[in-house]
Amino acid sequence: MTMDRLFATPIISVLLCILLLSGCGQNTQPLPVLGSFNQDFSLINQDGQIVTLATFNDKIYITDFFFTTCPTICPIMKTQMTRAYEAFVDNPKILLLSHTIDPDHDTVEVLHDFAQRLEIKTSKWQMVTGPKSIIYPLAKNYMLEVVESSKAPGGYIHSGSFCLIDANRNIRGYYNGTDSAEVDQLIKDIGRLQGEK
Amino acid sequence: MKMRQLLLLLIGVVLLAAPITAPATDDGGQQLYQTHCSRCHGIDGQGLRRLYPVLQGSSYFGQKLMQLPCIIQNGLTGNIRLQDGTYNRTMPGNRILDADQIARLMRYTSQLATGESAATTTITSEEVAHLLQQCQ
Ligand code: HEC
Repeated sequence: MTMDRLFATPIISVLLCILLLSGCGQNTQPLPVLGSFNQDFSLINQDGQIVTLATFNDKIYITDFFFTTCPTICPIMKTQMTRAYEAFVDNPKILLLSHTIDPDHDTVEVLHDFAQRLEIKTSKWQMVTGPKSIIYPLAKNYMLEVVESSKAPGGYIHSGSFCLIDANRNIRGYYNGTDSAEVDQLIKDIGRLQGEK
Repeated sequence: MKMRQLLLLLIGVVLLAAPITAPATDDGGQQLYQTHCSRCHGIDGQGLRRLYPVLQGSSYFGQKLMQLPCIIQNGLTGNIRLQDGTYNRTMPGNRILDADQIARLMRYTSQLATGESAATTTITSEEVAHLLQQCQ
C-alpha cells in the first residue's frame, strides 16, 4: 500500500506539471495578426458627432456591421455586443464601433433612439452612419462581407462577425457575433491583448 | 452485490423514463419559439433592454390572445405602452409560419403569461387558421 502510494505520487505530479505547463503555454502565445486597418474615414455617430480613425488612436476596439431593422442575425449580434459592452464598460482602453449598412433608414435620429433603447454610452459604443460609398469599403477593409440583395430578409447579406482590432491597428481576430461561446472567447482575448506591450 | 444490482436497476429506470416524460409537454412549440422569436425577445422571453420588449406577462398571452396570430403573421408597428416604457418600433411579420405552427407556438408561449390569465391555451390549428382569415 505504502509502496503503491510512493510510486503514484511522482507520476501524478509529473502529469499535473505537464497539464499546467501546456495550459500556460497556450495562454501566453500571442493572438495572431490577421491584417491591418489603416483606412481613414469620417462618419457621424448617434449623437451627431464626427467619428474618424483618430477616435480609436491607442484603443483596442471591436467592430461590426448591422442595421437597426435587420430581422435575422442583428438582434443576436446586439445582445452579444451588449455583453462585451458590459465586460468593458469601465475600461477606457476598449471601445465598440457598430456601422449601419442601411444609412438611408438609419439616420442619426434612428441610431440615437436605438442606442438609448440599448442604454449605452456613446463614448464607449459608437454607432455610426454615413454614405454607403464610405461604409461599404470600410467593411471590405475589415474583411467583413456586406452585400445589398433584394432576396435577403431585410435587403442585405452581411457578416455576423465581430472584428477585433488592437491599439496598433492590427486585426487580431474574428468572432461569430451570434455565438455566445465565441463572444466569451473575444472577451478573454481582449484581456490577453491588454497584456501586450 | 445486491446493493449494486439495485442501483443499476434504478439508473436504468431513470434513463428509460427520462426521454418518455420530457417531450410529452412540448409538441415543437419551444423549438419554433427559439427559431422565430428568441433572437429578439430572448430565450426566456426576457427581451433586450428597451429595444425588444419583454414577453413575460404580455397581454398577448392573456386577454389579447386571439390577436396574437395576426401580429405574428403581419408584424406589429407603432406606439405600444408596456410596463418598462413605450415602444415605437417595428416587429417584422413572419410569413413562414403556418396555422399549425402558430398554434403550437402559442401553446408553448402561453407559459409566458402571468397572473390570472396564466391558464395554458389549448388553441388548435383550425382556430388559428380562422383567426388568420380575419386579420386586417
Ligand atoms: C426582429 C425582431 C423580432 C422578432 C423576430 C419577433 N419580434 Fe415580437 N416584437 C419585436 C418588436 C421590436 C416589438 C415592439 C413593436 C412596437 O414597438 O410596436 C415586438 C412586439 C411583440 C409583442 C407585443 C408585446 C406586448 O406586450 O404588447 C408580442 C406579443 C411579440 N412581439 C411576440 C413575438 C413572437 C411570438 C415572435 C415569434 C413568432 C416575435 N415576437 C418575433 C421584435 C421582434
